[in-house]
Amino acid sequence: MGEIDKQLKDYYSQQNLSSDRVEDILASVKDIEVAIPWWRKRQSMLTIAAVVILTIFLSFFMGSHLGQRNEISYIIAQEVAKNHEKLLRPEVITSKYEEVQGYLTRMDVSIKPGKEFLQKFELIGGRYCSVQGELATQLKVRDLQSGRISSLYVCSDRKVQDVKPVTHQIKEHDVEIWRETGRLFALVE
Amino acid sequence: MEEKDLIQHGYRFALSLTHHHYDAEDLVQQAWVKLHRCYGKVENKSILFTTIKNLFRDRYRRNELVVFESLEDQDEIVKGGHPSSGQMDMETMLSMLRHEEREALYLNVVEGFTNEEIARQMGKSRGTVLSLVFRAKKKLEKAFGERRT
Repeated sequence: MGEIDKQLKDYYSQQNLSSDRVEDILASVKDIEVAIPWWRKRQSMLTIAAVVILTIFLSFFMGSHLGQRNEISYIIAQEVAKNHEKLLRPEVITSKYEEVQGYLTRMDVSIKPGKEFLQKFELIGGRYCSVQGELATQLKVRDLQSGRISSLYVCSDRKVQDVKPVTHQIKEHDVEIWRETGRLFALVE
Repeated sequence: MEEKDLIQHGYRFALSLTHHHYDAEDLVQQAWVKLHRCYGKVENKSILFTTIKNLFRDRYRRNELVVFESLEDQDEIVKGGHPSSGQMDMETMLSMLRHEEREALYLNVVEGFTNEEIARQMGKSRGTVLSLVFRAKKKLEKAFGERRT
């Protein structure tokens, strides 16, 4: 260590605040409260606001989503979509609804859909199935424009009087449900 | 490090900047209060030194008591015109240094900081710190040598 360094160290080591002065300094901060900067206050308020908005949004979204899942139409859509995925072969293959109706003698309602539907789809065949415990018909139909094959379910609407026309997305399937002259229809595409 | 030791270190550092006992006392107290107001405590020596330095800069810039000169403009102050070398003690010798030189010298020699640490602390390059320390020591050596003769 050089002479200068030693002298410097000696000099500064002798420079001390008196213990009274040190105590003064320590005492001067005893009652000090930590000041929260305005931007930090504002930040916390913004965070709270964001959490509240998110909570409201999530409750609304989850509520409506769960509510939708509890609807009977959604339950029906799930049932028919699952049935559609089984790819069951029709018991009778024909392009005439009357022939299917004639084959499925236990059906007590007409299985023939409305005019509008008939203009868009052609019949391939049909078989028995059930929807919500109600005897139903599963018809295989082909879209006249795209050529895609879909399933049309028909049954009496006795047990599902409150179903309104709706479309649900179940996995990759669009399930369209509607009621027509005492019957329930569900088209799975 | 205990609070009392921290205050003493802060005081010595403030003294290296101001080279004035009362100003150094004021600075260390102000810094102590400021840090307590912001964080509720003084975490370490480094933050205390930085706060002292900032307060020193604010205060003296406001009062225009310190002229911040560049190294190049500054000629050897010791070159003549200093007090009688026979009566010169360390305090007098230090008063002939610029506050930046005292600061760098204090941090280097007394606190044992590395040049990189001092550069960070002072917000200067490592090269500038080396120059400051070198020049400060040279001035002191010269003054010290003259005192002896």
